[in-house]
Amino acid sequence: MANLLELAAQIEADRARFAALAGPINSAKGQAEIVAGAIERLGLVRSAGHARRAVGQVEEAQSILAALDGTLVKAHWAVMSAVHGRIGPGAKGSGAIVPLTQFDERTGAPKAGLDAVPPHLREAPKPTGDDLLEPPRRRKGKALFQEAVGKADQVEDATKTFGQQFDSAWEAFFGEPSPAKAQQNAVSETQSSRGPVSTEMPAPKVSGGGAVMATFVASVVVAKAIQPIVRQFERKHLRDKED
Amino acid sequence: MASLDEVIASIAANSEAATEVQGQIEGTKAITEETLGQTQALSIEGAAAAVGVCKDQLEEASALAAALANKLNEARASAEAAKQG
Repeated sequence: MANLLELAAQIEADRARFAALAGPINSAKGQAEIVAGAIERLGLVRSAGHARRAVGQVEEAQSILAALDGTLVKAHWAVMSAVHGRIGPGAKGSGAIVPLTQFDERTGAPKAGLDAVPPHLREAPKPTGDDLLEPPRRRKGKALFQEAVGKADQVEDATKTFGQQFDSAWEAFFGEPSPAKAQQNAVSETQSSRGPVSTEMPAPKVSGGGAVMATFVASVVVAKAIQPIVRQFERKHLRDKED
Repeated sequence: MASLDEVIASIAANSEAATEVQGQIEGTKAITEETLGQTQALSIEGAAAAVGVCKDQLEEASALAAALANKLNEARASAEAAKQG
């Protein structure tokens, strides 16, 4: 096995050496093209022809190099498949092998016509009609329930995000954890200690500035929440007035 | 601007490098043959078949490397002919 892995490494190293040749060969081709153009401009037809032939031959060399790279990649895959079993595009279950030719089970001869197409390509998915038989009212109720569950999840996420943002804003402003976080920390510390708890639970320290900030944030949240209710009330009041 | 001498030198260097790497491929091929013998002796048929494929590919690679060196030599000869006019 070790020999096979060393062999794979050796092949990869050879491939890398050839790949490193691609740059210099391309550079030589570029130089040859420039020189051939210059010779053509000088009007030296015969020399220019030879130079152009040199350019073409270097291009052919580039094609050979590309084929060489592919061959070494195949050799590497072959060794790796000897190490790991059958791997790569030829392996079973890789998705690359699709039996495009169907064979008759009795005679063993390849099938012709529509039978030659594999079933998974031949048969389109058939509608069962279950969705049509389901009563529409029940389906509507189910859909509404799913929608409500989805919205509940969204509200929960939004609450969590708001809580996290509030905590970080509090820490940035006052340089200490927010009251909710301080309480959480205190509780977790008490739970994690194994011995009997003899000390009192530290009360969260809330300064005057913190209280003002908390009040401000809470008022903004409450104002946002009651805004639609106030608008609705105003609309109703105006309508009553018009009547 | 590059001169014809520079083009010739560049192509010659590439040709020599290709010949050198071809020699290394021959060395790898020798290791492959040895490994093939070992896998056949151990009757590991699957691995032996895979190493056999690898050997074939390396033979092809060696032939391609030789063709690459030849083609670059031809290009150098053409460049030298262009220099002589």
